[in-house]
Amino acid sequence: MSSRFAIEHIAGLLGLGLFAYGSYLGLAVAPPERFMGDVGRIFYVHVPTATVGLLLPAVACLIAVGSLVRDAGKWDAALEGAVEVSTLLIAMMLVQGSIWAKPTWGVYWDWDPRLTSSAILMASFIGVLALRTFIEDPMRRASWSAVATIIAFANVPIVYFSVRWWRTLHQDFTGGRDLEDTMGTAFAFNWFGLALMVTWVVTRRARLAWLTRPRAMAAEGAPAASDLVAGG
Amino acid sequence: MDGVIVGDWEYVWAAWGLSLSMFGAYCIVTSVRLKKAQEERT
Repeated sequence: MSSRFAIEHIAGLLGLGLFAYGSYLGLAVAPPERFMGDVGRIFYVHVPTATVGLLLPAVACLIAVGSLVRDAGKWDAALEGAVEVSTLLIAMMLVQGSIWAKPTWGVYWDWDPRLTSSAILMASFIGVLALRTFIEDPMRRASWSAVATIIAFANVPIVYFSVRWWRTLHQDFTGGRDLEDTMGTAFAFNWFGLALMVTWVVTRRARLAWLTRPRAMAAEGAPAASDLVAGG
Repeated sequence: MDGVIVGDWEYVWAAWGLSLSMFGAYCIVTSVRLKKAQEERT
């Protein structure tokens, strides 16, 4: 077992442990929220998902810049992993938010600026993934999907600040100062736990993209690196 | 009904269960695909 492999799994298991303990605190120990009651416990999974789900697109944007200025290769594989997991997290965030909205707002969905901009963000990341399937040339696919990722990321600040810019249905930023101790601890454990688990799965998805890339190139008739060396 | 939260734990379990099932399923599928790719490389 290589040290990188071991560290990756230790991080994933640590994340799972932190998340399990945070979930126990959020579901069984923390008191019901003052206004929402037990429904407020959805926030212990929704807030970490939303914050990690908005942070990962920022990481994807940085990787996209790296893919453009450096030799695409592994940067492009990392980009594929980061974009795909970002899409998953945004979808999870929308599912959690919609389920929370039903008992509190009375509807599963409203075209509120926060919800609308989040849906556009998910659609734009699905667009990046779709773009990757349409372009056959690996180098062009890498550069186009990097540019598309940067464009898609431009929506993240709009999602984040939408509750401040347009004061509508979705509540404004919630500070942690008014939280009961157990509530704050549950949020912290779930946030770090989810962040570690996401790091684990992005790493694995990026490695999968890297392992399958040469085969895809070969299928397209592109010369393998070893052929280039043999041919001088 | 203004100000009244309708429903209780069923929404909590639905939100946690659905979203974490999505994440868990993705992790499992990615791990299986990765293992298969690694086996094909060796």
